[in-house]
Amino acid sequence: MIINLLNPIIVSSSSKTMTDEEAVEQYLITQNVNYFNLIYDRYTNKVYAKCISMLKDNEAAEDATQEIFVKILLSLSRFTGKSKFSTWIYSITYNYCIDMIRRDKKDIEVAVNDFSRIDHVDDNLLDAEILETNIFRLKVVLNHMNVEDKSILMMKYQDDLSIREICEMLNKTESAVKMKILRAKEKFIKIYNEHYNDKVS
Amino acid sequence: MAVNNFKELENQIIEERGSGDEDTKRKVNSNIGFFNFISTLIDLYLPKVGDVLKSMAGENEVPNKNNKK
Repeated sequence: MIINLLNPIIVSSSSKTMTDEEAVEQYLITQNVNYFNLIYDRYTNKVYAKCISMLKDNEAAEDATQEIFVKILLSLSRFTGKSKFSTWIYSITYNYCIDMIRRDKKDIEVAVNDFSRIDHVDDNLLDAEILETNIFRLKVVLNHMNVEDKSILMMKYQDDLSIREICEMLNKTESAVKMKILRAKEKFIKIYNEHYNDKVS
Repeated sequence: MAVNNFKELENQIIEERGSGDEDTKRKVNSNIGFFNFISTLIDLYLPKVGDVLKSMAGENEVPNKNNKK
């Protein structure tokens, strides 16, 4: 440790082209803060965007981003490389935000009773309609969804995670994840239709 | 290319973030500095604390000859 503190804090220019996994490995070996800053620079905006989407408050999102990166720092040695590094970071981010919302009991309960109408809609068509939702309306609808439904839609549409990656993240079976995604989509459409006249599906 | 307004929303949020990025980076770096400081203290002093505890437990005490049979 002492030797590390005396080392000049210099990271070569080649570090910019390092993969995330290489930067993590180098940070763990050298404890050079610049390797961690490399990871921070790559992911801070994505982490922040998720935090503000979930917590709906700028200051809380900045605080959460800070705490998530400290959590990442303290858990780096536990990153096994089993999943992609980005998936691992997003998993910490979603779990942190879900815990915060549950702790503050700010979650929204949306009762969805009538799924029968949506059951027959082509899933790909539903995906396209959700993805093409006007940004302002998308924000409104997401703000009215509960945190679990919102996060699973963000994992699928924003982070392009595969079903397998979502299964690993949530520690659930493939069929359970598929069902959760379907339910989340249905809730999305229900909320959209409650707010806007040009009904989806 | 297919429209994905989830990604557009993410980009919009990032654009609106402003200087929060640098402030948060500074705070994270000060946390890293603090953790490094604590681990340095532990590296330096933990072995000494071990030595003190050993000496308190009487490791270097001369065996009492009267106890020998």
